[in-house]
Amino acid sequence: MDHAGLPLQTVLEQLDILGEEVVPVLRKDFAALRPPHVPDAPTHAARLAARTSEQVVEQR
Amino acid sequence: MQFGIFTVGDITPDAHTGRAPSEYARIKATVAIARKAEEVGLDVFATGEHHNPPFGAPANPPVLLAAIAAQTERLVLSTATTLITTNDPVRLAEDYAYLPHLSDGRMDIMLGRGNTGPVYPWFGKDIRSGLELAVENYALLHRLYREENVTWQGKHRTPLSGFTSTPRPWTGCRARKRSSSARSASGSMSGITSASSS
Repeated sequence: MDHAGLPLQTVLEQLDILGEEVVPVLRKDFAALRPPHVPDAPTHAARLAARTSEQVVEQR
Repeated sequence: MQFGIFTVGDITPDAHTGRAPSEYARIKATVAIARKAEEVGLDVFATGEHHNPPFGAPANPPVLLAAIAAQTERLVLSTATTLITTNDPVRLAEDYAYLPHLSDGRMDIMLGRGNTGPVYPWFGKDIRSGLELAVENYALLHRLYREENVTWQGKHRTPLSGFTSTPRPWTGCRARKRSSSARSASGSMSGITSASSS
């Protein structure tokens, strides 16, 4: 987005388009097309939640 | 799925004006771009790591990402990539354990070898050992995050004996850690004391 000497103002305008027009469509369509067996990416939040639930199980 | 942008931070002349931004302007622009990414609803901002012109802006990813962390609320901050070959894994463990504390866990680290031969000797390394360095350094970084008492010997850096990398990685379990561990509770109290007295 900010490569090859693009002025900052141009970069920020492109980000407006990306965030407001492109990514919402990508989110919607990727979610709709995702097969049930494909997991979410292993984010910190997801791994933390998994670890916390394991510890809860161990404590029982 | 997360959507984001990454920068390599090149300082390149504007094709229309022929003028290149100063390093100051480029670095400030990088922060402005990251803030904009959060404003328009993207999930991630990532920065490359480069040490040679024309890549002026991302010579120091942890400093850049810390500044962005202070000016954003929910954006995930990532490297793209961090050089696991020429950076000391002890230094990496410290920097990238510190940043999640400052950013409340909004940090990812992405590791890569680096493909620019001349960079290696600037940091005391040789690109011909690049693969070996990546494997050895990654294995050590992995242990430094998971083990509090590391004794280690390898080929490419000085051995470690009973070493604890600080701060420990942020777990996101602040309340539970304080109540369950006397050691971490006293550690955080001494941290507060030394900070307020300095």
